[in-house]
Amino acid sequence: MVDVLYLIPRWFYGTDIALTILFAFVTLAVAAYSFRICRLCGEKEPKYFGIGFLFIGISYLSRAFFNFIVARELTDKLNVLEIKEINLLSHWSIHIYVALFIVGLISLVYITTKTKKDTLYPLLLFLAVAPIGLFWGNSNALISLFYIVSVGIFVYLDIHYFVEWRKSKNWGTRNMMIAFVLLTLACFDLSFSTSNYAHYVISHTLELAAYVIILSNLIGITKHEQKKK
Amino acid sequence: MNKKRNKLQIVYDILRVIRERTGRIKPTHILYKSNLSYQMMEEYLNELIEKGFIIEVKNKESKSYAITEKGLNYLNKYSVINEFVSSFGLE
Repeated sequence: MVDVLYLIPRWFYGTDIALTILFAFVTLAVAAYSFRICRLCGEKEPKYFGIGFLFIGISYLSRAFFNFIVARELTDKLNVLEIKEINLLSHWSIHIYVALFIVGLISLVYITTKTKKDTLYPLLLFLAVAPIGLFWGNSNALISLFYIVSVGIFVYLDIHYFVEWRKSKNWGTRNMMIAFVLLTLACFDLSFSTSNYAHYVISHTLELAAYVIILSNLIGITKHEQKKK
Repeated sequence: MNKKRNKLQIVYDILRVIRERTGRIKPTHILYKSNLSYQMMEEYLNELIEKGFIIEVKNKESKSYAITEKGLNYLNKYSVINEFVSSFGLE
């Protein structure tokens, strides 16, 4: 039996892939800028921030690829597409998406620890990614686990950014807090998309709002740099 | 003005002091100008040498520190680095 991973309204199909590619573009742009800052200052925070966004960006590309190949193979005339794990390629795509996204989030969590111990990073990665192996071959259970773990990590990041914002009163930190809260809600909402396609649309809308905020942060920095030249 | 300096600011202060002294300075001057304890200053200087921002120049009687191109680049781009770090909550 093949489990339904999520439902997509047919009118939204294509738009969701374009949005996912846009999310990948924003996250990869943030990653590229982080690596540039890391080269300039040599600090590890921008490095791991860049690694985090790089993995999240690649995971979005993997999600877009998954939706593209799966929906292409579906030929139903219904108004709603049932996105299922239907072949080996889709099976691998969904597992890669989950693993990369979790690695990205764990990289962001690692920065918040402000530790000098580099050994903590691989340990956190192992603890977060190892359960994926336990659910190998069962995409539905894997996705359920993914939602629980992701929402948990997002809530942790929300609290972190809230505390940082209270300390610094910086507009950029406040923006990041809002963006992560939106991503938390998006991830939570997406977990209900197996039963109702509206959740899939709402989730993407929330994600779009979050990445517009993150992109505005990045644009603000590039404008600041141009002013300084 | 009472706000505690973060690591990026301390590095900036040290490098700026070295640059102002025509690119070479003795550790006692850094200690005086950077407003750090001796131990903290040693830690920062070692880290800056590791990162290639400064080099240690040893003479027969004393040692001094000189700023490198990479260090000068840090000073020039400091406001961008600081803007990025604070905008993305990486402080």
